[in-house]
Amino acid sequence: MKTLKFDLAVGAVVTVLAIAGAYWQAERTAAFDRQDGTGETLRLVCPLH
Amino acid sequence: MAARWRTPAVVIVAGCLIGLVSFGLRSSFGLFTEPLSAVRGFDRETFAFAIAIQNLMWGLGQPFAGAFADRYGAGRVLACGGALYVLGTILMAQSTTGTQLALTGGVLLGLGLAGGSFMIVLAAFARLVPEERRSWAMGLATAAGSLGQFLFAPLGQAFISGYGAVQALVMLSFFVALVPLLAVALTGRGEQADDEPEVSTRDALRGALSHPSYLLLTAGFFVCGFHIAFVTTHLPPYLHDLGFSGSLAAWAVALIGLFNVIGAYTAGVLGGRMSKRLLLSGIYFSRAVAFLLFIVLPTSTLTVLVFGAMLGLLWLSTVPLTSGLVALMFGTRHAGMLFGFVFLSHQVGAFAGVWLGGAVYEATGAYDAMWWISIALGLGAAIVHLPIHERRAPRWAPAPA
Repeated sequence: MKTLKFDLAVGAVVTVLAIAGAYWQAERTAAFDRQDGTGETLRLVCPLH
Repeated sequence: MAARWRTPAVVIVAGCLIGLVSFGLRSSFGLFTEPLSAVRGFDRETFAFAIAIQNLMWGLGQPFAGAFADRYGAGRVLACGGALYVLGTILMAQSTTGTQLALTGGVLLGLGLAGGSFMIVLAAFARLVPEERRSWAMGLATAAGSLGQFLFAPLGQAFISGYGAVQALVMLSFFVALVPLLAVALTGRGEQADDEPEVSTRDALRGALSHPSYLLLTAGFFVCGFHIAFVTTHLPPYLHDLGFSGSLAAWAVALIGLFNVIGAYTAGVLGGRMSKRLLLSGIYFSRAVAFLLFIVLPTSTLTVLVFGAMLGLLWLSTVPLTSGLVALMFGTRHAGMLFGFVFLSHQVGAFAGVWLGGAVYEATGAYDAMWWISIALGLGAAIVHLPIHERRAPRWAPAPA
C-alpha cells in the first residue's frame, strides 16, 4: 500500500509536468504560427537572446 | 566495489535525465528540416534520407551497443554514445553536402543514439534497480524521455528563431554533453546473478533466438514501431487531405506526447503488479480498436483529438513491459544485447511503417489500406503476446539449490 501511494504520488507529479510541458509546447507552437493583422507571421524571439 | 552513493534513487534520477536529454534532442530534429535545408541548400529528400539512415543505424547499432554495455558497463557505453551523439549533432550542423549530412546526422548520430540513449539506460536499470521496482523505474525512464520532447521542441524553435538553425543545433547538442557526466551513476556491467546459470554471449543470443516467447515478443515490437512511425509521419498529411488545419495535426501530436507520458508511466506501474504479456496484448488490441474507430467514425476535430489522446496512452507504454519481459525471461547478464535485438525489430517496423505509408499513398492516392493494415497488425500483435511464457527461459532457469 505504501508503494502504491508513492507510485501514485510520482504519477501525479509526472502528469502535472506533462500537462505543463504540453501546454508550453502548444503555446509556443501556436505563437510561431500566429499571424498579425497584415498576414505577417509573428516570430518568437529567443528568451535567452 | 560499487560506490555507496550509487543508490537506486541516484541511478533512476540519472537514467531519467539521460532519457530526457537524449530523447528530447532527437524529437526536435524535425524542426530543423526546413531551416537547415534552406541554409545549406538541401532538398527535403536529402534531409529525410539522413534521418532514415539515422533510424536504421540506431536500430542496427543497438544490439552491439547493448552487448558492449553488458561486457564493459552501461556507464562507459553511455559516455561514448553521448560523446558520439554530441559530435554527430555538431558535425551535422556543419555539413554542406548530402553525403556529409548522411554520414554525420545519419551514421554518427544513429550510433550515438544507440550508445547514448534510453535502451542502454533500461538495460542498466534491469541490473541496478531491485527487481520489484524494475518495471516502475523503466516506466518512469520512458516517461522522462517523452517529457524531453516538451522541453526541447520549444527550446529548439526558440534557438532557431534567435540564432539560426546551424547555431541552434550546436547549442542544443551541449545539453547532450551532460550524458557522459550522468552516465557515471550507471556504471556497472552485466554480472552473473547468484541464481543465473553461466551463459556466454553467443549462447545467450542463440538461446534467445530459438526461444519462441522471445521471437513472439520481437514480432510484437515490430508492430509497435510500424504503428508509431506511420502515425507520426503520415497523420499530419492525412488530416491535411481531409481538409483539417496543420494546427489540428500539431495538437493531435501534442496530445499523443502528453498522454504518452501518462501511459508509459502507468504501464511501468501496472507491469510490476500484473501480467506484462496480457498488458501488452491489451495495448495492441486497444490500438487496433483506436485505429478502427478513427476511420469508421465521421472525422471531426473532436475525434482527431480523442484519437491522439487514446493513441498517446498506448504509444510507448509497450517499452517498459517489453523490456521487463526480456529481463524476466533471460535475466540481466545479457539484457543490453537482448533488448537491442528487440529494438532492432522495432526500428525495422518503423522503417516499414514510414515507407509503406508513402508507397500505399502513391499507389492508391489514400491511406485507407494503411489504416486497415495497422488494424490487422495490431490484432496480430495482440494475439502473438498471449502464448508468451512469462517466466525464465529453460536455459536460464535458476539452478536447483
